[in-house]
Amino acid sequence: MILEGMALTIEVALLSLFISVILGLFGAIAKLSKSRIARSAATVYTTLIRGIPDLVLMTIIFYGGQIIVNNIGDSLGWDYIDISPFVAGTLTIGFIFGAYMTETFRGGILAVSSGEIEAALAFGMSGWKVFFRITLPLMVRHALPGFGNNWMVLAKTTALVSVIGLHDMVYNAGVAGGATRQPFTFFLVVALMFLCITGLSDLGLRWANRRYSVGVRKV
Amino acid sequence: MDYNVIINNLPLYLNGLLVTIQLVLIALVSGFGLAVPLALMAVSKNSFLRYPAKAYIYFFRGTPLLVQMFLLYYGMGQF
Repeated sequence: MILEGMALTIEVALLSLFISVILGLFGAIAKLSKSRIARSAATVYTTLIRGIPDLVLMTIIFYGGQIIVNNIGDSLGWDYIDISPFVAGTLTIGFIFGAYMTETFRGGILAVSSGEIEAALAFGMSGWKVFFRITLPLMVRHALPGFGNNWMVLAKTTALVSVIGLHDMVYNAGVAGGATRQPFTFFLVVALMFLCITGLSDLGLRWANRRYSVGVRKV
Repeated sequence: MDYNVIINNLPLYLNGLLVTIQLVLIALVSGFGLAVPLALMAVSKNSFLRYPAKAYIYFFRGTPLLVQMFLLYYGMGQF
Protein backbone atom coordinates (compact mmCIF):
# COMPACT_ATOMS: atom_id res chain seq x y z
CA MET A 1 0.00 0.00 0.00
CA ILE A 2 2.86 2.31 0.83
CA LEU A 3 4.52 1.34 -2.44
CA GLU A 4 1.34 2.16 -4.37
CA GLY A 5 1.36 5.52 -2.66
CA MET A 6 5.00 5.97 -3.57
CA ALA A 7 4.21 5.42 -7.26
CA LEU A 8 1.58 8.16 -7.01
CA THR A 9 3.97 10.45 -5.14
CA ILE A 10 6.59 10.05 -7.87
CA GLU A 11 3.96 10.54 -10.56
CA VAL A 12 2.77 13.80 -9.00
CA ALA A 13 6.36 14.94 -8.48
CA LEU A 14 7.48 14.29 -12.07
CA LEU A 15 4.38 15.80 -13.66
CA SER A 16 4.59 18.94 -11.57
CA LEU A 17 8.33 19.15 -12.26
CA PHE A 18 7.49 19.17 -15.97
CA ILE A 19 4.91 21.94 -15.50
CA SER A 20 7.27 23.96 -13.33
CA VAL A 21 10.14 23.76 -15.81
CA ILE A 22 7.92 25.02 -18.64
CA LEU A 23 6.51 27.80 -16.46
CA GLY A 24 10.00 28.59 -15.19
CA LEU A 25 11.38 28.96 -18.72
CA PHE A 26 8.54 31.24 -19.76
CA GLY A 27 8.87 33.17 -16.50
CA ALA A 28 12.61 33.63 -16.95
CA ILE A 29 12.20 34.78 -20.55
CA ALA A 30 9.47 37.20 -19.44
CA LYS A 31 11.59 38.56 -16.60
CA LEU A 32 14.50 39.24 -18.94
CA SER A 33 12.41 40.57 -21.83
CA LYS A 34 12.37 44.16 -22.95
CA SER A 35 8.59 44.39 -22.61
CA ARG A 36 7.61 46.04 -19.37
CA ILE A 37 4.25 44.22 -19.28
CA ALA A 38 5.88 40.78 -19.51
CA ARG A 39 8.43 41.77 -16.89
CA SER A 40 5.91 43.02 -14.37
CA ALA A 41 3.55 40.08 -14.98
CA ALA A 42 6.39 37.68 -14.19
CA THR A 43 7.36 39.70 -11.12
CA VAL A 44 3.80 39.64 -9.80
CA TYR A 45 3.70 35.87 -10.38
CA THR A 46 6.92 35.11 -8.52
CA THR A 47 6.30 37.54 -5.65
CA LEU A 48 2.76 36.28 -5.11
CA ILE A 49 3.65 32.60 -5.19
CA ARG A 50 6.74 32.91 -3.04
CA GLY A 51 4.81 34.88 -0.43
CA ILE A 52 1.96 32.40 0.07
CA PRO A 53 2.35 29.04 1.85
CA ASP A 54 2.03 25.97 -0.41
CA LEU A 55 -0.75 24.52 1.71
CA VAL A 56 -2.87 27.68 1.47
CA LEU A 57 -2.43 27.85 -2.31
CA MET A 58 -3.29 24.20 -2.70
CA THR A 59 -6.51 24.47 -0.71
CA ILE A 60 -7.46 27.67 -2.55
CA ILE A 61 -6.95 26.04 -5.93
CA PHE A 62 -8.61 22.75 -4.93
CA TYR A 63 -11.71 24.13 -3.19
CA GLY A 64 -11.88 27.56 -4.83
CA GLY A 65 -10.91 26.35 -8.29
CA GLN A 66 -13.77 23.86 -8.19
CA ILE A 67 -16.27 26.65 -7.50
CA ILE A 68 -14.83 29.03 -10.10
CA VAL A 69 -14.68 26.42 -12.85
CA ASN A 70 -18.26 25.41 -12.22
CA ASN A 71 -19.47 29.01 -12.01
CA ILE A 72 -17.95 29.62 -15.43
CA GLY A 73 -19.24 26.26 -16.62
CA ASP A 74 -22.78 27.07 -15.43
CA SER A 75 -22.92 30.29 -17.39
CA LEU A 76 -21.69 28.50 -20.49
CA GLY A 77 -24.11 25.64 -19.96
CA TRP A 78 -21.52 22.92 -19.29
CA ASP A 79 -22.10 19.91 -17.11
CA TYR A 80 -20.67 19.77 -13.61
CA ILE A 81 -16.90 19.51 -13.80
CA ASP A 82 -15.12 17.64 -11.04
CA ILE A 83 -11.57 18.78 -10.35
CA SER A 84 -9.77 15.76 -9.01
CA PRO A 85 -7.28 16.15 -6.18
CA PHE A 86 -4.66 14.75 -8.56
CA VAL A 87 -5.16 17.52 -11.11
CA ALA A 88 -5.44 20.23 -8.47
CA GLY A 89 -2.38 18.99 -6.57
CA THR A 90 -0.18 18.55 -9.62
CA LEU A 91 -1.16 21.91 -11.10
CA THR A 92 -0.64 23.72 -7.80
CA ILE A 93 2.79 22.23 -7.16
CA GLY A 94 3.80 22.88 -10.76
CA PHE A 95 2.50 26.43 -10.47
CA ILE A 96 4.35 27.08 -7.20
CA PHE A 97 7.66 25.67 -8.33
CA GLY A 98 7.34 27.44 -11.67
CA ALA A 99 7.98 30.60 -9.67
CA TYR A 100 11.09 29.18 -8.02
CA MET A 101 12.29 27.81 -11.35
CA THR A 102 11.79 31.24 -12.90
CA GLU A 103 14.31 32.72 -10.47
CA THR A 104 16.74 29.83 -10.94
CA PHE A 105 16.59 29.99 -14.74
CA ARG A 106 16.79 33.78 -14.74
CA GLY A 107 20.04 33.58 -12.77
CA GLY A 108 21.33 30.86 -15.11
CA ILE A 109 20.56 32.84 -18.24
CA LEU A 110 22.18 35.96 -16.81
CA ALA A 111 25.32 33.96 -16.06
CA VAL A 112 25.79 33.03 -19.73
CA SER A 113 28.46 35.38 -21.01
CA SER A 114 27.10 37.95 -23.42
CA GLY A 115 30.00 37.30 -25.78
CA GLU A 116 28.59 33.85 -26.60
CA ILE A 117 25.23 35.37 -27.49
CA GLU A 118 26.80 38.17 -29.54
CA ALA A 119 28.85 35.59 -31.43
CA ALA A 120 25.72 33.57 -32.20
CA LEU A 121 23.92 36.69 -33.40
CA ALA A 122 26.93 37.58 -35.54
CA PHE A 123 26.55 34.17 -37.23
CA GLY A 124 23.10 35.29 -38.30
CA MET A 125 21.07 33.12 -35.93
CA SER A 126 17.58 34.35 -35.12
CA GLY A 127 16.65 35.29 -31.55
CA TRP A 128 14.87 31.99 -30.83
CA LYS A 129 17.64 29.96 -32.41
CA VAL A 130 20.18 31.72 -30.21
CA PHE A 131 18.05 30.96 -27.18
CA PHE A 132 17.58 27.25 -27.87
CA ARG A 133 21.02 26.46 -29.31
CA ILE A 134 23.29 28.71 -27.25
CA THR A 135 21.71 30.26 -24.17
CA LEU A 136 19.72 27.23 -23.01
CA PRO A 137 22.52 24.61 -23.15
CA LEU A 138 25.04 27.02 -21.61
CA MET A 139 22.62 28.05 -18.90
CA VAL A 140 22.15 24.48 -17.66
CA ARG A 141 25.48 24.45 -15.84
CA HIS A 142 24.64 27.58 -13.88
CA ALA A 143 21.03 26.63 -13.18
CA LEU A 144 21.68 23.00 -12.19
CA PRO A 145 22.46 23.45 -8.47
CA GLY A 146 19.38 25.64 -7.96
CA PHE A 147 17.31 23.31 -10.11
CA GLY A 148 18.36 20.33 -8.01
CA ASN A 149 17.45 22.14 -4.83
CA ASN A 150 14.03 23.02 -6.26
CA TRP A 151 13.43 19.44 -7.36
CA MET A 152 14.11 18.05 -3.89
CA VAL A 153 11.89 20.62 -2.20
CA LEU A 154 9.23 19.86 -4.81
CA ALA A 155 9.44 16.13 -4.15
CA LYS A 156 8.91 16.79 -0.46
CA THR A 157 6.08 19.21 -1.12
CA THR A 158 4.10 16.42 -2.78
CA ALA A 159 3.40 15.18 0.76
CA LEU A 160 0.84 17.99 0.91
CA VAL A 161 -1.44 16.34 -1.66
CA SER A 162 -2.50 13.94 1.09
CA VAL A 163 -4.26 16.87 2.73
CA ILE A 164 -6.61 17.36 -0.23
CA GLY A 165 -7.43 13.66 -0.21
CA LEU A 166 -5.07 12.15 -2.77
CA HIS A 167 -4.06 8.63 -1.75
CA ASP A 168 -0.32 9.15 -1.79
CA MET A 169 2.30 7.65 0.54
CA VAL A 170 1.48 9.97 3.43
CA TYR A 171 -2.28 9.45 3.17
CA ASN A 172 -1.94 5.68 2.99
CA ALA A 173 0.43 5.66 5.95
CA GLY A 174 -2.11 7.66 7.93
CA VAL A 175 -4.86 5.16 7.15
CA ALA A 176 -2.68 2.13 7.83
CA GLY A 177 -1.26 3.70 10.97
CA GLY A 178 -4.73 4.44 12.29
CA ALA A 179 -6.02 0.92 11.55
CA THR A 180 -3.08 -0.88 13.11
CA ARG A 181 -2.48 1.70 15.87
CA GLN A 182 1.12 1.95 14.77
CA PRO A 183 1.28 5.42 13.25
CA PHE A 184 4.91 5.93 14.22
CA THR A 185 6.07 2.84 12.34
CA PHE A 186 4.13 3.75 9.20
CA PHE A 187 5.16 7.39 9.12
CA LEU A 188 8.77 6.42 9.76
CA VAL A 189 8.66 4.16 6.69
CA VAL A 190 7.27 7.06 4.64
CA ALA A 191 10.01 9.36 5.95
CA LEU A 192 12.63 6.79 4.90
CA MET A 193 11.01 6.47 1.45
CA PHE A 194 11.28 10.22 0.99
CA LEU A 195 14.87 10.00 2.17
CA CYS A 196 15.48 7.44 -0.60
CA ILE A 197 13.99 9.76 -3.22
CA THR A 198 15.98 12.78 -2.09
CA GLY A 199 19.16 10.78 -1.49
CA LEU A 200 19.08 9.20 -4.95
CA SER A 201 18.26 12.54 -6.55
CA ASP A 202 21.22 14.07 -4.76
CA LEU A 203 23.54 11.43 -6.26
CA GLY A 204 22.04 11.90 -9.73
CA LEU A 205 22.35 15.66 -9.55
CA ARG A 206 25.96 15.49 -8.44
CA TRP A 207 26.69 13.31 -11.45
CA ALA A 208 24.86 15.73 -13.77
CA ASN A 209 26.73 18.62 -12.22
CA ARG A 210 30.05 16.93 -12.97
CA ARG A 211 28.99 16.24 -16.56
CA TYR A 212 27.93 19.80 -17.25
CA SER A 213 31.03 21.25 -15.63
CA VAL A 214 33.42 19.25 -17.83
CA GLY A 215 36.16 21.52 -19.02
CA VAL A 216 35.17 24.29 -16.64
CA ARG A 217 36.19 23.17 -13.19
CA LYS A 218 36.92 20.09 -11.18
CA VAL A 219 34.06 19.21 -8.84
CA MET B 1 -18.87 35.58 -3.25
CA ASP B 2 -19.94 36.83 0.18
CA TYR B 3 -17.24 39.12 1.50
CA ASN B 4 -19.16 39.88 4.70
CA VAL B 5 -18.14 36.48 6.04
CA ILE B 6 -14.53 37.60 5.97
CA ILE B 7 -15.25 40.92 7.68
CA ASN B 8 -17.48 39.35 10.33
CA ASN B 9 -14.80 36.84 11.20
CA LEU B 10 -11.92 39.28 11.26
CA PRO B 11 -11.23 38.77 15.02
CA LEU B 12 -10.89 35.05 14.35
CA TYR B 13 -8.29 35.74 11.69
CA LEU B 14 -6.41 38.13 13.96
CA ASN B 15 -6.26 35.51 16.71
CA GLY B 16 -4.87 33.06 14.19
CA LEU B 17 -2.34 35.64 13.03
CA LEU B 18 -1.15 36.02 16.60
CA VAL B 19 -0.63 32.26 16.88
CA THR B 20 1.24 32.28 13.56
CA ILE B 21 3.57 35.04 14.75
CA GLN B 22 4.13 33.21 18.02
CA LEU B 23 5.00 30.01 16.17
CA VAL B 24 7.39 31.83 13.86
CA LEU B 25 9.23 33.51 16.71
CA ILE B 26 9.48 30.39 18.90
CA ALA B 27 10.61 28.27 15.96
CA LEU B 28 13.13 30.88 14.90
CA VAL B 29 14.69 31.17 18.35
CA SER B 30 14.75 27.44 19.09
CA GLY B 31 15.95 26.70 15.56
CA PHE B 32 18.81 29.12 16.04
CA GLY B 33 19.59 27.57 19.42
CA LEU B 34 19.81 24.13 17.80
CA ALA B 35 21.60 25.25 14.68
CA VAL B 36 24.66 26.80 16.27
CA PRO B 37 25.78 23.76 18.32
CA LEU B 38 24.88 21.43 15.42
CA ALA B 39 26.90 23.51 12.98
CA LEU B 40 29.87 23.36 15.34
CA MET B 41 29.42 19.59 15.63
CA ALA B 42 29.20 19.20 11.84
CA VAL B 43 32.59 20.86 11.34
CA SER B 44 34.23 19.19 14.34
CA LYS B 45 37.27 16.94 13.87
CA ASN B 46 35.78 14.38 16.25
CA SER B 47 33.75 11.90 14.20
CA PHE B 48 31.56 10.98 17.21
CA LEU B 49 30.29 14.54 17.12
CA ARG B 50 30.31 14.98 13.35
CA TYR B 51 28.30 11.93 12.24
CA PRO B 52 25.27 12.43 14.52
CA ALA B 53 25.05 16.03 13.35
CA LYS B 54 25.34 14.97 9.70
CA ALA B 55 22.67 12.29 10.20
CA TYR B 56 20.35 14.82 11.83
CA ILE B 57 20.83 17.26 8.94
CA TYR B 58 20.35 14.53 6.32
CA PHE B 59 17.15 13.22 7.89
CA PHE B 60 15.43 16.54 8.46
CA ARG B 61 16.40 18.05 5.13
CA GLY B 62 15.43 14.93 3.19
CA THR B 63 11.94 14.32 4.60
CA PRO B 64 8.81 16.46 4.20
CA LEU B 65 7.82 18.74 7.05
CA LEU B 66 4.30 17.29 7.02
CA VAL B 67 5.62 13.77 7.54
CA GLN B 68 7.88 14.94 10.38
CA MET B 69 4.93 16.61 12.04
CA PHE B 70 2.71 13.54 11.64
CA LEU B 71 5.52 11.35 12.92
CA LEU B 72 5.84 13.42 16.05
CA TYR B 73 2.18 14.23 16.70
CA TYR B 74 0.33 11.05 15.68
CA GLY B 75 3.37 8.78 15.97
CA MET B 76 3.92 9.50 19.64
CA GLY B 77 0.50 7.97 20.39
CA GLN B 78 1.98 4.57 19.59
CA PHE B 79 4.19 4.50 22.67
